[in-house]
Amino acid sequence: MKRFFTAFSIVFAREFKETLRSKPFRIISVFLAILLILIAAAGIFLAPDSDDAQIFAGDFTDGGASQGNTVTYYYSLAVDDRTGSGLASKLSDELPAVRLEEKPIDEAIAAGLIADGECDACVVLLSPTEFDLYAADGDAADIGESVRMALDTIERTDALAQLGVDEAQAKDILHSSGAWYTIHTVDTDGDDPFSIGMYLYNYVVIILMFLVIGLYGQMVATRVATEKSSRTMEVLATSVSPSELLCGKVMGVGAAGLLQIVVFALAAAGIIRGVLFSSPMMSVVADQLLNISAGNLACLVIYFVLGFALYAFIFGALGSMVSQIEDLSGTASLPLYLFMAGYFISLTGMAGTEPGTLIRVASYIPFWSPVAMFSRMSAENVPAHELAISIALLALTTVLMAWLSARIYRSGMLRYGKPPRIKEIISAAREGSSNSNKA
Amino acid sequence: MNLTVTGLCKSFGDTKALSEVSFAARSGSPLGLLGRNGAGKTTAMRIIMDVFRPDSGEVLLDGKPIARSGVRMGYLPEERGLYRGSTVIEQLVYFARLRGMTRGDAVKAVDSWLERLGMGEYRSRKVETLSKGNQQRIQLALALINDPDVVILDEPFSGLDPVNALQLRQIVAEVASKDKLVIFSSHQMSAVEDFCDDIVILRKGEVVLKDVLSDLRARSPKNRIRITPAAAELTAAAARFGTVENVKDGIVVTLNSEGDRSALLAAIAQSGADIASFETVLPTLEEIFVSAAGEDSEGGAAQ
Repeated sequence: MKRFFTAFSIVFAREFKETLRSKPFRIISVFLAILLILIAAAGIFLAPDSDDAQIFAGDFTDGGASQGNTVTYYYSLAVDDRTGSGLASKLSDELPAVRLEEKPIDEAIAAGLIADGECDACVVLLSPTEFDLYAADGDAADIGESVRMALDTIERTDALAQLGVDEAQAKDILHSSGAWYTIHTVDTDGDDPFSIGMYLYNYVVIILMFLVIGLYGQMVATRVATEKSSRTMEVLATSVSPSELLCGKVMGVGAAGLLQIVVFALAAAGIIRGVLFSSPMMSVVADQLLNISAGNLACLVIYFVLGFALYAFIFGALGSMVSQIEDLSGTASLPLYLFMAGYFISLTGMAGTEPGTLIRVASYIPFWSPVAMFSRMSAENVPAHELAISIALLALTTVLMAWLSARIYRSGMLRYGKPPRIKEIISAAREGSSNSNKA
Repeated sequence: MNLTVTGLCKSFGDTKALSEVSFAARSGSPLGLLGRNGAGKTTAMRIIMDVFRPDSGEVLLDGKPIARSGVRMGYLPEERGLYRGSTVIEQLVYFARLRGMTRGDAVKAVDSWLERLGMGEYRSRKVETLSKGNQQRIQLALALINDPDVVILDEPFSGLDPVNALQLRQIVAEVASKDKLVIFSSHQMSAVEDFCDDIVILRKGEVVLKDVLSDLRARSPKNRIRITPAAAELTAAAARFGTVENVKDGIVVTLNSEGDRSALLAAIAQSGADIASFETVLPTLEEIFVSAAGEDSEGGAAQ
């Protein structure tokens, strides 16, 4: 066992390093970098203009709630004060971080001002306690609530003033911290399955799985085939056992792929935190993305590792059966088609609001579960026991495939000739024991 | 060390690669494993190196089944097998570590070998930038880097110019002279004659001849006589005793009977031809090989 791990680690280290230097790694890195730029651009594009004043709506950090989900809004308002009591001026005092501009407003004027970007919303003050609000859909409730709270404060201040309470004292009373509360985020065994953030997360995971398993899995096959065609396999076969070589190769390449995903995830999290929160539209999504549960992340790692290993062992075995790189495209296409079927089933499954029977079944089939389960998780809370069964089936199949692939690899690694047919691959698996060595 | 190969049989599908192959090798007496292309030499070597298991038969090293984990082996394959995109130092260290050396020892050994081969400047060069000859030298260094006890060299001088071939011959001779168990395969019979004490010739997966080279020659017929210089009367005199073949600077007479040597000498003296040399020609290894392994041979007689 000690010898196995020594040789495995030497092969692992080399394959890891070579993968970092390889063209597919650079291609995926460029793709992920473009994705990050798009995320950042989305955040910047959707952020409010920087010269607008900023108010915090729903932020109770000033003696209110402890750190919860802080939401930031930027508003500029056009106000038509029809009360004749200078209410617009008081409103401006009450909302010091909002840019207010008084002008006559009706629906048509409001639509024009908002469409032209001259303001975020228009308010028509009908009385101290009533106003009309004109706004784009997504902003209505937030802005309306802010104005309402401000008018409430103004009305109560005036009422207290009439009772002889000094205006400054009245404002202190009304703005003082009242009840405190602390927000605790609870784990509900998975995030809200219907959240946009989870949907996006699972969508990206499925695409990443497809890229990494498809590209890196084929890389394992290419490396093996290259060693055969360059005759390096002759020297390798006498230096290390087939199991040590195949496992080291699969895990080395897989580790590089996992590292790439982790770096991407960390970079994405940083960008989301830094940029997306500035947009009122994206802040909810950003919040969901940054609060993916530990269980969900663990699922990502487990499915990635097992799913990649499953396919990489198959690719490695098939790579050992060809004599020339040129023969690989035909031989390696079968597992690729198998995986692509699962990929398309998963993407189709994300189109609906509820997972269908096909997706549910696919989430248990080991060759498809690495992608199908994420499609299912985007639409429902998957019970823990079902997750456990899916993972157990995948793990068992991966172990079996590793064993079978090692036998095929042993038999094929020094065999040269025409590209193999299925019958020959099966025969090679049977011969694997007679060609095996003790190591 | 003593290597004993007994009754090896190996088939790949319908193709019988080896059939009841048996021979022995010992440290200090390099064995020449010879045969035509496809005779089964490489398969036998791979079984000895524990890459394949035979269908039947056994390979014992000092009386115990051979296992790669228990003995240091070095192998120079017939075809160069190096990572073309890696540097010389990278892959020599890689393979040395796979064979059990620590990184520090591996780097020292690599630098020592590169210095010895005069290839220090290629240390950080990629293999694909090296000439065929230099790649072969790197391959030899790779085979010997872990100071193996069992060394198998398959066509070590292939593709080398005379200068490089001479340097590698010196290295191989040094390896052969140490107490290593060496199995040597080459189509260059002069190299085999230089290095090997024992030979085994395979033909279609079977042993057709195995013997100590010197004994083989000693037992071979002594009915070939080389006489120099050639002359017309000489040829006429010799023709009465056997077939005459013109060679450079003289003739070779294959006597009908070994006992005719004296009569031939007397006939030459009678003819008045002035000769410079009259010597018995022993068969070359090439002639022995062709006789044993050629298509027309009846297989020869394995010892």
